[in-house]
Amino acid sequence: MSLAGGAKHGHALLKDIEEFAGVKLGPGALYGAITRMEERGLIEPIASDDRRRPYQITAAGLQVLVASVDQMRELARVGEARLKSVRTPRLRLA
Amino acid sequence: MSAEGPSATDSHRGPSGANDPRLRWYPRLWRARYGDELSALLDDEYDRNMPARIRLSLVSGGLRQRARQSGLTGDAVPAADGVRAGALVVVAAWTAFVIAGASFAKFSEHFDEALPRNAGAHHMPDLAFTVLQAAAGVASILVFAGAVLAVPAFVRFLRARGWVAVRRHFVRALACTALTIAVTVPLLVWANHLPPHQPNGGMHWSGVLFLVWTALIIITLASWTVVAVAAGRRIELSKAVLTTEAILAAAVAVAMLTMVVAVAFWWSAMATDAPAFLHASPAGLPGSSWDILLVATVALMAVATGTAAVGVAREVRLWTRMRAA
Repeated sequence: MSLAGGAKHGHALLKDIEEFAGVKLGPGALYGAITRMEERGLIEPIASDDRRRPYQITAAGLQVLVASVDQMRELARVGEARLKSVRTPRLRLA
Repeated sequence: MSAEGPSATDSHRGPSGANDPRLRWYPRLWRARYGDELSALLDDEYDRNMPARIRLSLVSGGLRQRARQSGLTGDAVPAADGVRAGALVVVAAWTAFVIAGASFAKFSEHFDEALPRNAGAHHMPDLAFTVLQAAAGVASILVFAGAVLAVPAFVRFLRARGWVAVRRHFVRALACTALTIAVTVPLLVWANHLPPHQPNGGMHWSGVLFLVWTALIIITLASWTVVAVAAGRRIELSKAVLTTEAILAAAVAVAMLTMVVAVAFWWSAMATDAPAFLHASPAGLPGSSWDILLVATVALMAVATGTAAVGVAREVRLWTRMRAA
């Protein structure tokens, strides 16, 4: 999801994920995810002379991200609807 | 497209990723591909003062990558390599089981003499022990058959200069073996000269000597297992041979499970009919059936069997994919 906002290398990914998700990933976890996603063709490295290699999301990665965001949206919608039905009787009781 | 993040001007502070000691837990191939960038990330984030949490993250990440690259987890390697990894897990588990088995053999020495005279008391422990011995014999034959089956591929591997890849492990195992023999021979000579009523020669440190000798045996067995696994990962096996090896490994795992069950029955029967034997006290005295050595032995057997089951599960999961490939 972080790479949907533009190409980033490891350090920038850590900062971005911490900022939007509030999760401070360890370097082992981050590079485990990078390895898996690159193997599955969801992200790809950009040629660079620097030791810090940036990554960008691929078309396949975008498709998976769109599907994941749709699923999260649906979950949020169902969750919100159920919360409404829980809150309403409580309000009536009050 | 430009990447976000710190500037690249100071990006050559740390050692190159392939040689960075902070990444020593990662496999060599992985370090060659990702080492430089992870090394740079560690320089940017933590410089030289990495918190324990980050060190742990690197250890865990490195071990995960090793498991993936050896085919134990994930789908990073071809299915055949995953099946092979599953079979090699069973081999490693078998070594642990052999160590536990040796401990059990020593513990259960002369158990028959501790049982009451009536025939009924002998039935269950004898039956369980016979099943245990039969399963151990079958499993040993299966392991031997698996090793023989791999010999032609191993010879081809050595001829193709594969020796270099396993040399380090082989030399280490050979050194351990030499040391074990050098300790065992004088120990046997000494033990053979002891009077029967004084099995430890009257020396209190003989227990320590025995522990050191046991540790040497375990290290030697483990180091040969490392050689077997290192070679087994690299040799070229045909699909038919690999299939046979996988079946043999599954059968060994079943034999291990049979032995664990047999030991459980033996233990339970002994606890009922000859509890004094389990805590090495004269017959008739009360005591616990939970002897620490027996508990540790059976726990090691159970862990080894569980590990073998994980290996077999891996084989089974990738079996279909391998056949389709």
